[in-house]
Amino acid sequence: MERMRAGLSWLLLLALQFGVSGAFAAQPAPAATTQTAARAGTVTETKLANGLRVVLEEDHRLPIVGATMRYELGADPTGFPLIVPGMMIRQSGHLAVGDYQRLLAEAGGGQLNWSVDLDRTRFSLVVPSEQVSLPLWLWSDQMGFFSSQLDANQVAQGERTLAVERNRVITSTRYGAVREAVRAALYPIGHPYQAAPIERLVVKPTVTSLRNMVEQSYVPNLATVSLVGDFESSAALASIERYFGAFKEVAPTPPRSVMLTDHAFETNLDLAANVDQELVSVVYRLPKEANIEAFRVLEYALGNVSGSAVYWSLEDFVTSADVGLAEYHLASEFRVELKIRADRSGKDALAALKTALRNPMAFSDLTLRGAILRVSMNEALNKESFFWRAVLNARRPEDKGVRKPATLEEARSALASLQQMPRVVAMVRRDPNASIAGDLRAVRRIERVDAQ
Amino acid sequence: MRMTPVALLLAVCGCAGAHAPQPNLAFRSTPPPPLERKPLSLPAVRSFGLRNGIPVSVLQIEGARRCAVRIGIRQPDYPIPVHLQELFRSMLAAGSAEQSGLRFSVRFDELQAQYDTQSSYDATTLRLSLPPESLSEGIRLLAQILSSPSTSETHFERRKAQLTHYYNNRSDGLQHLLVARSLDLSLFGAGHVYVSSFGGASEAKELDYAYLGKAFDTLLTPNNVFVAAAGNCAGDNLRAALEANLGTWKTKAKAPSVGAQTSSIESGPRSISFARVDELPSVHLRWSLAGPNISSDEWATALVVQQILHSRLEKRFRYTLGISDDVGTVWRTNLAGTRLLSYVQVAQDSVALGITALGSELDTMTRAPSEQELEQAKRRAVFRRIQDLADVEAIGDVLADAALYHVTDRMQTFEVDINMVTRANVVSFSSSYLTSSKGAVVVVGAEKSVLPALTKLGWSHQPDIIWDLRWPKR
Repeated sequence: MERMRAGLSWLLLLALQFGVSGAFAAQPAPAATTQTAARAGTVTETKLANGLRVVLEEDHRLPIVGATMRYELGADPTGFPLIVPGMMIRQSGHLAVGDYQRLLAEAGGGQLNWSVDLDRTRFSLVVPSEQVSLPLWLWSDQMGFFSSQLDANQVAQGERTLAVERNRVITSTRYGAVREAVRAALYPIGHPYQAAPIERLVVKPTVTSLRNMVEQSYVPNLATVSLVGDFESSAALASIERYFGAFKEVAPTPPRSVMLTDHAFETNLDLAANVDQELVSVVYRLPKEANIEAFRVLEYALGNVSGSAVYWSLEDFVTSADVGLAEYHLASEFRVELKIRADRSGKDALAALKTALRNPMAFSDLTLRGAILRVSMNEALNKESFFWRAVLNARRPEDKGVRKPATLEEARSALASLQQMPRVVAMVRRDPNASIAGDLRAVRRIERVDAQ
Repeated sequence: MRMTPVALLLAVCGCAGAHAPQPNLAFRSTPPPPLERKPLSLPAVRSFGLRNGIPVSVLQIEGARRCAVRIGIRQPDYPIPVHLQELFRSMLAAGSAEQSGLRFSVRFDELQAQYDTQSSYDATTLRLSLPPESLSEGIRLLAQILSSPSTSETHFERRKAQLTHYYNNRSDGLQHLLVARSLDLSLFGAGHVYVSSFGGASEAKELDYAYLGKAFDTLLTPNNVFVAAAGNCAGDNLRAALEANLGTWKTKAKAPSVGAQTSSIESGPRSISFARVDELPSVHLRWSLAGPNISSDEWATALVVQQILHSRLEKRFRYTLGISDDVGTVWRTNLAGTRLLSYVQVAQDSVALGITALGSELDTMTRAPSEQELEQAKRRAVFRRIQDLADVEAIGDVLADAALYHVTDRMQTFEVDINMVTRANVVSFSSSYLTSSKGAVVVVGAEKSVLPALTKLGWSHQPDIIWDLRWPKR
């Protein structure tokens, strides 16, 4: 089972596009299934009486169906949302331990994965078209019959599984501690993202507390089923109604809304790790109203192997440079991560990066235009994949919206605005006595001297 | 399927909380039956040759938004070390002798095209994806790269320095390279072309610019190149564009033989190698066995056998023993032959159990599968193929692989070939290729947990390679 990580690849990031709050606002339940929207092309959106969103897109080129089940629930300060999906996959009301994976494997299913980010939980896969009902049956069992069979053994097993996962992605991974340290420093104390743990529980779960949480959160009116591929919409809709229609909606919790009013700052994190290469990670926090498409252009421009002056100014310092944009409900993150050559210092590489990004002409018009074209081109490429279309179609309507490609001026404006954004700079130094994940040695918050 | 007492009670009395549906119905307790199965149907592959002999395979998919063009450069009997291969690939992504990589990047952007290069054991491939209306110009640019590649020494030296640094540092990527090298060394034997294709920091440092020039001279010639295109490739007359830009490319006098295939390998007596990575929290086991050549008549059986073994390994490790979720088996193909790689990741205290269980599952393959097991394996093999064809880019890659191994005619007959595999075929194939007394076993993990386990096994072969995560000094 591949477990996808949030915020690590552009392909995945495209799937994480969220917009303004309000997704959790109560929806009046129609008396019967009604079609609430039908978009151009073959994508149709329907809502069941219990609030479950259904997004269907027929594509009969191959006998295959991409399927996504999405819940509007991300990591919270308890850590419970991190433990539940794995437990649901392990067993649910009518599925014994391992049945979920076994049945899908026997049916020929593939690309099975699930993930939890700061805003949502998602299960995705592809199946042969003759098996289109199988994931619906499996996911409906999770939604309707997981909580009633929860017991102490399962909770304990879930805790052990999460501990193993944390060991894999944090404790035993080079630079594994950086992501957690950055997240804690990037948001003010009290912000939901600041306290969101990575692969660990903050509160010890009990059967009762976990059951209560599941019954309030994994519910039809906070969920979306998305299918793309070789099926008949009317039959698929009937199946979804059959499997999910009897589940009751619950009163949604109020949407999270946090104003981030702090001004530009820089927090320096000093970490030591038993690694061969120093690492520099610079993460900017973007406000939720930021023009994400413009920052996506910057991501593509900076990430382009040979297309920017910034790249060339860094190439002699690094063995790799990763750029990422993660978009969430309450804020977004723009990240540049450099692995430093053994004969260079992270300090020098950071200075080179800062200098390059301060230059208004760090990217030529040619480079930015190229990046703008690549953004739209990659969206076109995603549309070729059944799997990714199911993921993308599952986004909430207000998040998908009508997104216009950024203009050259908007991209330049985004570059200039980076100087105003709060940022965290994590520097990982080599220390054979430290852990390989990294040990946080010092945190220093400073006013941004380069803020305009 | 199961019905827990609690669920049963809730279902019968309908007294569950607001969250549970009422009433519970029979369809809840069993998986839905599959619908009627639809056969995989692909358009025919059209093949033709350019005037200079470059073979072209086209799979036209009406209605697709893009065309995926692949130009493969064969590496027949030419031992390019992997680090040189990386430089070779990288230089082909760095523009041409006349225009910089940046200039090419801009042109490809303007065409809404995506360009990159990839390398494998047997070929380096130029990959271009673009809208059909941009085909002519896109192919013109590819032809320019091929016929007049970038020979920038600066670029060469910069990439070489990066590679040297990469080999000198511990990294997860290097760990995989070390494991691969260890497997190849055990399976092919020292001195084999595929083993010599790996090197270390010291070798990378010694690479010189002249060697790269020799690779360009030897490999970049029309009779060493093939073209595969999939998707909507008709918009701008693909054939005319290829003839105009690639068909005029002159064949060099001294060109390598095309499609030369090294004879298939055979598994030797079982050997165990140990790659020491003391910081790993778990242990990786690999068991590699030689298989038939991908172009042989046995290949459909090979794919079905792989599915059966994969499923048995999952069942054994995940459910019966409960010691791993990361287990399976996969075919690795190249011109020298194929290898069936079985893999599992276990905790440090399960090394001996893991190796023994892997071996015993290999041995069970000589017993005939049930009809149901065979049918499920066939279904999975076909669906894996369908997944490989799920988008135009993937279809382009599959077609390029088929062209490289001269099996494009099997693109259309894939499902038929799979469905013809019998239980007897599976037994016969397994008897020929799968046995725990042969193959290369590689164990990667911490010394303190692996070595005692290997000793406990009592196998006659002792660990013969102990590496740190750093590349070994030579």
